[in-house]
This record gives sequence, structure tokens and C-alpha cells, in this order.
Amino acid sequence: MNDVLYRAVDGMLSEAEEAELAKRLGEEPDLASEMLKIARDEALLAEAFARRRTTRRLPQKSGGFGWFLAAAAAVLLGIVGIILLPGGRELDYDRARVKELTAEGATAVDRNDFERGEALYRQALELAEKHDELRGQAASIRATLADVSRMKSEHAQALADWRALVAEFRRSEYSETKEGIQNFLSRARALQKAHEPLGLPWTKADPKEGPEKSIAGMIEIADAEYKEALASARREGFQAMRARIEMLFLKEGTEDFAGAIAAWQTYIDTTRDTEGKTKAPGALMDVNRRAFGAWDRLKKKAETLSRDEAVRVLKNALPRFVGCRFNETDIEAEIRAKIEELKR
Amino acid sequence: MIHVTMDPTLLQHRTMVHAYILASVWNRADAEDLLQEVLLEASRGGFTSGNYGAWLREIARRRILEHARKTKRRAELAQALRRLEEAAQRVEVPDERREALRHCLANLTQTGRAVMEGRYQQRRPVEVIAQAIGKTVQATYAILKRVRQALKECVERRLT
Repeated sequence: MNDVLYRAVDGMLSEAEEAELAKRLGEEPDLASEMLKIARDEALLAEAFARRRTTRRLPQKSGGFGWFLAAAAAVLLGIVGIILLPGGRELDYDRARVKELTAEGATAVDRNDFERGEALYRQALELAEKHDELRGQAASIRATLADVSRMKSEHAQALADWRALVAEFRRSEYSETKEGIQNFLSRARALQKAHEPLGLPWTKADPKEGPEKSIAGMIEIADAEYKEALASARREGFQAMRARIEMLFLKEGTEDFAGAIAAWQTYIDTTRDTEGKTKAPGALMDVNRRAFGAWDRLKKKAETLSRDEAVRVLKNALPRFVGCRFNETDIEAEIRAKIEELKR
Repeated sequence: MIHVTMDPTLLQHRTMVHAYILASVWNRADAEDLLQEVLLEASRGGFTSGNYGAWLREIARRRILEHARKTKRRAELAQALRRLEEAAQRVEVPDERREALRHCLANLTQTGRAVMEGRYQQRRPVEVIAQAIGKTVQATYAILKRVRQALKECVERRLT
């Protein structure tokens, strides 16, 4: 049943399922409890991620974390309805000081100076916790401190990941195989995607600054390496295809020209390699040329045989020449005609 | 966005009202809109005495029914809402649960984190998240389910 409830909160139920679930919720208190627990956990998740959204994005848009704090403070005072009671000079002083400290803390966090940011927020929290009237601010600062702590560890992890990637790039072992480069590229792109929202220096640096300063620069180089490896693999692909066709269909004495032609035609139709597409028609023509030579020899051999024997030999050989043409000669048609002629 | 999240007591009420609405309307965006409407209405005053959470849920109930009429959905909702209201009185949102969730979220795997951020932070549909992480929609939904289950177990473990 849990699955239906989760699909419900994800808005994935059909109309019939919705009607059925609504009916059951009205009838089954346990199901209603389960639904509410799932919705509670979803609400908590939404809040947790909404907090991340706010702490990450507002500073980038406004150019300062202080703006967020100012807005949060205004909301705190205006909407939540915490009434600031006149409580003497100490309260006024501490309130003003909390405001200053949190603004300074926000500026430090904006500069990615998390140690200083944390220290300033802790001072602010200490002051706010002295007064009942500032408990709302204290709760807010505690939440911000948790966010700063998480950002600090995210940045530390990001720096370690970036350094490891740079070291791997320097060793360049990844570039030995196409798959190695592909794997490196995909990890570099994932890192770029993960680090960009954090505003880290290597995600903002111009690619011209080089692969050890700019992740985009590093990706540019690895991408060029990948394209080169791909092109090379495709070239080898054509050679490999030719060797395979020779081995499978064109062994001397038992050539299956029809099979070789079909294999080349499929390659021409499906390959995305420009070079392969250019070279394969030549290889196809070569097969037809060889088929023409083989047919010529077969024709001569048939002339030395009795009619019945010649018909048998040509009928046996016919499947190997299906679809073969050289210049204007339709080899398959010629063989069929020869068979008919011998039958007469 | 109304940030009533600053006051710990209000925070609990806000979460429960959000849960109550989401459990009724089954659409995240609609639930968030309705939550904002409820909080806005509550901020204009009107509460005199008694159970503040129940008062908020009453505002929410009216909004949900209004929404259901507007969208012509779920005529059966009134009875379901009564059951959900009863459940809301039993189900709690302790601060410890919120804190436990915060810890558990910090330990997500890279893929799990990407899926959860896509879903809850960037509010993307599963199809878009699937494309971003290079998996099928079914596989992405399976990851989402697994992460939710793992988070639930992690939270329960921390609370016991």
C-alpha cells in the first residue's frame, strides 16, 4: 500500500486510483495515519531542500548573504509575529550586535571563509540565546550554522575531488584508451556540474587559463583527446571490418561473395564514420570484381563439363554470387541464364 | 515565500499543515501554494485560544475543499479529510526527527543526492532527473524509492 501512497504524493495516480484511495482514506483510519506520516516526511524533505535552495541561491543573486539575512529578519519580525518588547539597553544592544555579527558572518561565508563565518555566527548565537525575545533569531542562526557547516564540508570535499582530478589529468593514464578518456570526461563533467552551484574558482576560471586552473579547460582538452581516439578507433574499425569480411566470406576457393557484399552494404548503411563510408564502397567494388573473376573461371570450367554436371555445379555456386554486379554485368543473372541455356 | 520557519513551535505546525495538505491534494506544487495561502491567512490573526495546530488545519481544510471544488476532483475528500485530521492529532513532528533527517541527508550517496536534489531542491520531474543522471525513468524512480526508504530507516534508527 505504501507504494500507492508514495505515488499519490508524487501525483502519479490515475483518476480511478485517486478515487479509490480517497474512498479508502475516508474509511480506514490506519491508512490515513500512514498517509499523513508519509506526507510529513515529504514535508520535512521539502523544507530541508528549500533551506538549501535559499542559502545557496540568494547570495548569488543579490551579491551578498546579508541581503538574505535582512530579508529573513524582516519576515521574522513582520510575519511570524515575534513582538520585540522593550527590554532595556542590554537587549537593544545585543539585538543590534546580533544583527552586525550575522551580517559579517554572511559576508565571510560569501567569501567562502567558513571558519570566520562560523565563529561570527557562534558569537551571534551566544548573544541571542541570552534573551527570550531573541529566540527566533537564535533558531534561525542555529539553522544557518548547520548550513554553513555543511557548506564548509561540501567545499572541502569539492577541493579534494578537484585536486585528485588534476593529479589524474597530469598522470594522463586515462588517455591510453578511448574508454579511459570517456570515463575521465564523464567524471570531470559530473564534477563540473556539482561544483558550479558552489561557485568554486575552477568552475569560474576561463578555459584559456589552462586545464589545472579551469575545469572547462580540462574538459576541452580531454574532449579533444576523446575525439581523436574515436576517430582512430573508427579508422581501425574499417580495417577490422575488412579483415573480418575476408576471414568470414572470402577465403580462397570457398568465397561467398553474396555474404561479403551484404556485410559491406550493412556497414555502409549503418556506420557513422565518414572515412568508413568513403572507403567501404571501394571495398564493395573489389568484392564484385573478384566475383566477376571467379564467375569467369567458373564459366570456363562449366564448358569443360557435361551439361548435367555443368548445371549441377552452377546451381551449387549460384548462392555465392547472389547480388553480384561488376561494371554492367549482373553476375547472378548471367549464371541463371547459363543454367537455363544448359538445360535446353 | 513566507518564512515562518524561524520559530520552532511554528515550524512544527507549519510542517504538519504542509503534510495535512499534501496528504489531501496529492500535488506538490498545489500543496505548497495552499500552504502559503493558509500561512498568509493565519498571519492576519484570528486565533484566540485553544489548539493552534487544529486552528491552522481548519483553515487548511477550507482551502483544500475550495481547491477540490475548483479542480472538480475528489468529491470523496470531505470524509478523507476527517480521517486525516484525526491522524494529524496523533502524528507528531518532533524537532529530533528534523535533526535526524538533516544528518541522514548528509550521508546520501552521490546518485542518491543527485536524485533527491533534482526532486526536492530543483523540483524537477522524474523524467528530467532521469535524463540528467543518464538513467531510465523507471530506474530513477526506483532510486528515489530506495533513497526515501533508506532515509526513513536512517531517521528511525537515530530516533531509537
